[in-house]
Amino acid sequence: MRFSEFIELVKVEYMMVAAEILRRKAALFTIVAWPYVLMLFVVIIGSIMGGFTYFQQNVGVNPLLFFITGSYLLMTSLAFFDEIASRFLYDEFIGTLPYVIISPTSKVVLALTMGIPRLIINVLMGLTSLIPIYVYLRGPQGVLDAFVVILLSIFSALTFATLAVIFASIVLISGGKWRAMNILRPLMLLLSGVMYPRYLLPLITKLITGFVPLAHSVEVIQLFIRYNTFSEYMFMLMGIATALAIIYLPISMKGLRAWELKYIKEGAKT
Amino acid sequence: MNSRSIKALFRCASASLKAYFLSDLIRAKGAVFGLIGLGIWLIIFILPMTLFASATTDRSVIAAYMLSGIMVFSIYSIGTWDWGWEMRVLINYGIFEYVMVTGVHPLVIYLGLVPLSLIWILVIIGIGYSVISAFVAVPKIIISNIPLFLLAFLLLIVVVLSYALILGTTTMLTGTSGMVVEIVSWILPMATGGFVPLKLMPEPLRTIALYTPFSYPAEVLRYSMGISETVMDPNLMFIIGYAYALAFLGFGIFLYNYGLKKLLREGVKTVSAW
Repeated sequence: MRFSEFIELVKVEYMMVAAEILRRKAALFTIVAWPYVLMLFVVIIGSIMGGFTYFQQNVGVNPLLFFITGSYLLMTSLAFFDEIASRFLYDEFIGTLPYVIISPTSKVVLALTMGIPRLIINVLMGLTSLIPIYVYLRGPQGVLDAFVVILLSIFSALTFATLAVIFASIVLISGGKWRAMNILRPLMLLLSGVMYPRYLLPLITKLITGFVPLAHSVEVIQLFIRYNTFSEYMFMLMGIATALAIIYLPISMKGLRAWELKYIKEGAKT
Repeated sequence: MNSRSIKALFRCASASLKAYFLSDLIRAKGAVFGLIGLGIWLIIFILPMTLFASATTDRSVIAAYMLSGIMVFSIYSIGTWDWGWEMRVLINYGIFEYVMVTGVHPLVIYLGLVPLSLIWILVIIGIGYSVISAFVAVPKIIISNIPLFLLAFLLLIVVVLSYALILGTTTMLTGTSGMVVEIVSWILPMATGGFVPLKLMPEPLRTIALYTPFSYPAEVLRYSMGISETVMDPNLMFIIGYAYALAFLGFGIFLYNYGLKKLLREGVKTVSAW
């Protein structure tokens, strides 16, 4: 596939997703409100348990800053997994999957393309969620910090894309459909440490997170919002995330191809 | 209502209970998958809250707050996603028209659905209790007055069922956005004292919460579990709560019937997922 064709595919996907969101104003409202709802949910209940001071002592960051970042990452990081797994399932549900399968476009390329528009929209969400809270807590410096976090979140989502395709393939091949997705989704969030720093997780869970690129990049973001600078350790984590993404690439391609072949062999199901 | 129609009602209720039980729990393996997913989601949201606690805070009290929050939230969620959302499922799968032509009131379906949901709620509370005990502490709950606890639980179910009827009617008449429903299902328990005892809420929010029927059952339920004191005399809260809940239920049923009449005139609408 030529690069120009790939860009054309991204444009088409983007128009579809953007049109869907702009058409449904409620969806647009939800995208803007969701990070605030999640943040308030945790912070309000958490503050009854003790207080902001204790959180700051335990984690080293203001809870508002930590959870608005966590809520934003929660939506951005899973852009590829959500889009790939749910779109193919939705196509199957409405009966359009056979048309998608017989199209000459590579399904791997299509899958990687699918996540990009959603990622762009979710990243734009950073402007409405991160910037107001960051500016409120850090003043003008908050704008710069928010942009750094947004850039790091793009890095997170992209380095997680290959593992996301593997998980999406598992959902599609297993036949577990939405039910499998509803288990894998929270599991990935737990392992990534978006809402609970991974260094506080039990040892075995912490070891497992070592294989998840998202966990490394999320840790980089959490360290950045805490220390406001980049250290060698953070660059090392970004290196590990990139290496893992590259390692998972061939497996993800094979996984999606295996699902496609299985689908062709078994035919469309209702 | 004669004995024949009561028999027919029971037959419809047991048939729908059997259908939901088979489709949701057995055929779709929903029980196994649903419970695993639920356990992980609970861990995701419970763990961060422990970071707010000081070393001297009694963790068993925190655990009790968490458990009551899970209990109330799961009932709200079931009201939203199982009972309110069911209208969308019935319409989208084309089942609703068939129910209408049988001549049986569609609410009979809820007689089968509600018992199944209650089983779910008990299981969710069990899982919540296990997760909290494992990650925080064993919840400190003292139910000294069992009848009051059961009546408070029933009060909460009545309020949520009424809310589900309103939600279902809205879906039936206009088609709702799932995302908005999702947001409402998070905001509602937060804003009306579902998670937090009213005495710990800011004054303006507490006043707003007391204007809604949702705050009373949650407050009395927490009181009956020995978790927190109520902002008013518990007996008064209980009486106002029941009066408000029954009026709310009456309004829900009235609205639902109005929706049905409108539907019969205008036909079934397409309901969007999101």
